[in-house]
Amino acid sequence: MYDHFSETMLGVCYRYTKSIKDAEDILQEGFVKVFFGLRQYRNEGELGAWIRRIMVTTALNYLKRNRNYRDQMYFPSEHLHPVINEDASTILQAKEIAELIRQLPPGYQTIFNLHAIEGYSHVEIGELLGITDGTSRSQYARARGLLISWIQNYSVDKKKENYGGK
Amino acid sequence: MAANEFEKNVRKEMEDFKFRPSETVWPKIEERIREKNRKRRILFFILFSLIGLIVAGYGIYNFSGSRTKSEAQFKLPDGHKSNTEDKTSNSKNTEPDKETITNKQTIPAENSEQIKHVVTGKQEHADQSSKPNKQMTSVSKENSISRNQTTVSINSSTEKQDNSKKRNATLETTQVLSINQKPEIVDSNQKGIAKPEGKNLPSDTARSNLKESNNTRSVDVVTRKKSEKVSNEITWGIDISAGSSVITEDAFSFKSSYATADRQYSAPGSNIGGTPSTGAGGAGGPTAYYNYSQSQNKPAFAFKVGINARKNISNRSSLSVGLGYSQLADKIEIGTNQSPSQSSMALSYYSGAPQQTHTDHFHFIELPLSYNWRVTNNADRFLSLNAGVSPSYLLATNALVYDTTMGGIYYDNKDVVTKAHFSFTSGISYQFKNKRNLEFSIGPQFSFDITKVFKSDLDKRKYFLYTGIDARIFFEKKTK
Repeated sequence: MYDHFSETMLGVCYRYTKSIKDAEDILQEGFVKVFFGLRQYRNEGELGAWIRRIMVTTALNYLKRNRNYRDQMYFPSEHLHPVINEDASTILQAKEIAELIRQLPPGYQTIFNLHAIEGYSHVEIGELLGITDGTSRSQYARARGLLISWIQNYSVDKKKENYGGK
Repeated sequence: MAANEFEKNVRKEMEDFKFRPSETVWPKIEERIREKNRKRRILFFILFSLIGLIVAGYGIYNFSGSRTKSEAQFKLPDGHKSNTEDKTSNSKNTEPDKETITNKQTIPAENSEQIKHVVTGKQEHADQSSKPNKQMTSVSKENSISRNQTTVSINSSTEKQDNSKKRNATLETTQVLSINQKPEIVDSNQKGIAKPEGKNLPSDTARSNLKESNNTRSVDVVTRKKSEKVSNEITWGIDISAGSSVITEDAFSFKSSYATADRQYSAPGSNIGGTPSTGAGGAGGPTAYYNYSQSQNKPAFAFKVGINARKNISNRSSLSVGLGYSQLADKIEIGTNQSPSQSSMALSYYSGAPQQTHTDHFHFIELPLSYNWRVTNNADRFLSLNAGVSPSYLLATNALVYDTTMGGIYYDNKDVVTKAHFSFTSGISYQFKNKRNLEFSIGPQFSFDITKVFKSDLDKRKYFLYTGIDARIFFEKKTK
């Protein structure tokens, strides 16, 4: 099981942290929970999805527990959030997107991961992080806008590199 | 919709995002799982121990047999206060111990209404002059139960009111009886008086005296029973034991163990496996080398500490349960440490000629249960025989295990050490009390473990044997 899922799950953990060491710590903790909680898995869904949920929950607990992240996890209550329908014209490779996501502030990073990638609703995110769904929406909109602008800048820089800086 | 497209693309890309964990992650997970399992086992052991302790305590508490039952039968509603007042306050010459009779008759609840029947009689005795200060004699019979139970009292008192003016003794008998209770009292005047023997008495008085003597005998019997009454209370105490332990080859043998290492064959001149023996091997063939056999293990200091709860189950016997920590040990001779870098083995081990003494320490948590039987009659200072069982769980150890491979090595492997143990204990102790309601007990104690210490058959050490001096202090409740 570890051999089969460890790489994917480390990818999940990696998106929530700022360093690979922290991601591996979460992976360890998550797999310990998985092995002890296997009896609770009732074959109702995919095993991978079940493990993934455990990893996400473990990652959130780790962020709340770890002072480096906790101090930066600030969610100001903003009910008026910018509506950005702008789309990224270019889609980058997975690793490049992951790196950009990791450069987001921890609060943005967490909410973006939970909503855009894991598919949690804002109400669920609000319950997980102890914030209102409005705050979650607002934070997500800002994170999304920031990420799209970075992707566009990144793709422009990349094109420049490809064309020899012209 | 553009907004959803972005999320879909990101999600799709992220599904394939993988990272290979470093090599150290899995060993750490394994270690954490092992540690968590260990903690879980310890937790379960403590939990079951506590449950066992509670069950045993409950069993002991309710293990007082028919005596408790018969006492319970005497219980009446609160409205019927027990008549435990000393109505013989004037009878100073009467021994208090002989005033109370424990009567175990059952009083039906519907018949519990009591009447106070006072019979006062005066009797003049012609021979009072022979005893100018004749004592007032009082026999109080009480169906007395110590805890809020119905008391049926028959107080017979005889008073001499004035020795100088009246030479008559006034005999006053007060009877407090239940309606349906039929005590064997023929006449209150006859019943209550302890008459001097050898006097010429009327025939009816003689009959009365005969009955009286019988009653007096029954009073004595009951009084003796009262003095040996078993305390129902649980007594708490601490238990400390120190001595030595050794691991024997058989459960009930003092013979210490050793094993013979494999013979290892190597080319002539090679030094694999230790010192070559003489006479083995032929020309051109492999040379036989005797390798180092398992060292004889020696006794080492061991001790036990814990708390105990004791409950008397009869006049002479008691049960006690406890929760304790014990450290057992043995000493072995080992060779030099071979670090993993010099060997292909991942574990560090000791091989070669014995050069140092290693003490294996075993830390246990245990739940001793013992039966104690008083041998001698004196209840305050006596000898007691003790026997019991003790399940225990290994918390930690630094034990080295012997293996016959590679010429005989000792290595550290916790997995081959048995965690759950079961042992029988026995001993004899001298018990005595002091004035502060402390009860001391001291004596030799033996413990035989019937669980193999090591799961490996290559290590011949098998069963723990513990001998030591056990000291206990019990804190008895002060009785008013």
